[in-house]
Amino acid sequence: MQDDLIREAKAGDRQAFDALVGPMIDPAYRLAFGMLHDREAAEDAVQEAAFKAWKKLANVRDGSGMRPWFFAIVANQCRSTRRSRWWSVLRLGDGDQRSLQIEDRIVRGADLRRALRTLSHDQRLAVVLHYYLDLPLEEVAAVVGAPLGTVKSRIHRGLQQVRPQIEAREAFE
Amino acid sequence: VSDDVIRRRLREVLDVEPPDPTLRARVMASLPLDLGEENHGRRWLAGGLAMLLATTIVAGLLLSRTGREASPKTAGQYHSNLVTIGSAQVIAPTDLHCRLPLASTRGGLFLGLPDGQLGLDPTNTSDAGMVRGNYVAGRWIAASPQMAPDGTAYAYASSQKLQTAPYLTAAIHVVDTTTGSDRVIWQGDGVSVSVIGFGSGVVYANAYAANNEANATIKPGLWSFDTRAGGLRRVQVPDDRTRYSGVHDGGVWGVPSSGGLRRLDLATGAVTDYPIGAGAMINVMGFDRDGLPLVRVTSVSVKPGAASSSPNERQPVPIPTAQPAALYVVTRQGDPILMTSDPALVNSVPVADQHGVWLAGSDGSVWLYQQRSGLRKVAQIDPALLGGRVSVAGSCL
Repeated sequence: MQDDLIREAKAGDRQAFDALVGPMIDPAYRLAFGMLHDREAAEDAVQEAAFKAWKKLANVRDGSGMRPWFFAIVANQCRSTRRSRWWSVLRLGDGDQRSLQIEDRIVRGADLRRALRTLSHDQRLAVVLHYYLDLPLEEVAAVVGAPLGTVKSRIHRGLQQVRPQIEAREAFE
Repeated sequence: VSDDVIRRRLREVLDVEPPDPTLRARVMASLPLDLGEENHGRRWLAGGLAMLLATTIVAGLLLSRTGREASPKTAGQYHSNLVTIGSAQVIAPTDLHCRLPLASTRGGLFLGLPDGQLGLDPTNTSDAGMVRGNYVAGRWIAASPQMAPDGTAYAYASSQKLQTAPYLTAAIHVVDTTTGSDRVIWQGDGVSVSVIGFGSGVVYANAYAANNEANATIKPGLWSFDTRAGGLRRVQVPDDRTRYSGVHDGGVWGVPSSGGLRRLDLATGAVTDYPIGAGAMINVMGFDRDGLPLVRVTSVSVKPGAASSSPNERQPVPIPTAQPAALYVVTRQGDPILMTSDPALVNSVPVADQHGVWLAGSDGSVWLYQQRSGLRKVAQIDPALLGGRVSVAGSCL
């Protein structure tokens, strides 16, 4: 069924492409938001990723998973967004959280979000895919294009950095 | 901390911004109509070459039969069946030899220079409804066109209210100036768009929310549309509150909410602010042939009786105090040079061509601004011939 849709989409059938990618738009947005923490930027990243997916459909092989392929494009788009000059310029104004009291920051999740932002792109991607989008580790490995052991290692190191904030929230409640 | 706790906590901090329910529709609507080169090109390359060869042979045969009649309209041509309705008084300069398209309440006109003859284009008159106010490459169109840097095409926006839809449908067109073929490169619902620039293979347009924003295909803001591969992208701007209204030579010009004039380099993102007209309202009206922005500065607080500035004089504080508004050319150094503060001219839309910058006054006067000689009155048309208002509709051909 999916292979048929891929073939039709490759032939230029937009409805087939919509049937393939459409259901992944919401999770792709969640992935992008998990990576960027900015609604507008996440929507733009998904839109750009869908555009690239449409243009690069010839690279999809029949029988291969569409979801890891599309999520990999979204993840790469998020990486490009974070590297862009605008991202660094716009993020400079993101200092309102500093004025919040510690309790407020914990309750609102600001500390955890900030801890997530300190992770490297690869670590954050693995954590978000596995713990936020509930992708099995094998599929996470397919998205990031790394061996399973590498993915486990990235998740382990990433969690080491965000664990104190999670424990603080647990303790606070 | 268990995996379940980690999952729960991540959802708590990341699920605060749910996706827009229209996101899927917007994403799908933003896709180019054709597949990219990676897909389309490979598959149809051989077939395309064969078709091209066949088309070339057939077209050659047809052209050899029809001769000059088959040649399409090109930029510079105007309607050959103009109806002479009178003459304007030509003042200066008299060495111009061209026809200036004008849009008047009566219809589309051509002002002959230096003879002053006024010809009404029968294809664009008020009898047929609204007069189309812009003339480009042998065609009258309603929206303001933007010419590609190489002059081979121009872009404009259109909108229509379909009977079957409760919202406005907007489109961006690219027209080949040689063949006249009009190609819609994007169409969307729930927004109105205005084309503000045409770069190399890219059309820049502002999108505005229409009456029913829920159906909007794209969000309000500045967008770029790929004329070759299709598709669109939102232009990253550092300040959403800046009104961007013109693209020229790799930069988009706008007016920040804080005032003044801003140029954003589209390649590097570098922002240059020109602190002109502090406390006044600024509008980017267009560009001259050198890419210098033409701006209208409208004074917020008018002080009647104050000394007026003379044209072409450099103004350290460019707000006109005696007049409510004035038109300026802003130099590359950010110096505003006064074009005019004549109340009959300040609301006219300037049109730049190889001769200079053209303006039409509300009193039927036609003016030409040149950097060397400043602003000169070229002609005076009897307002009765115009039926009311008049504006310059394009380059003097």
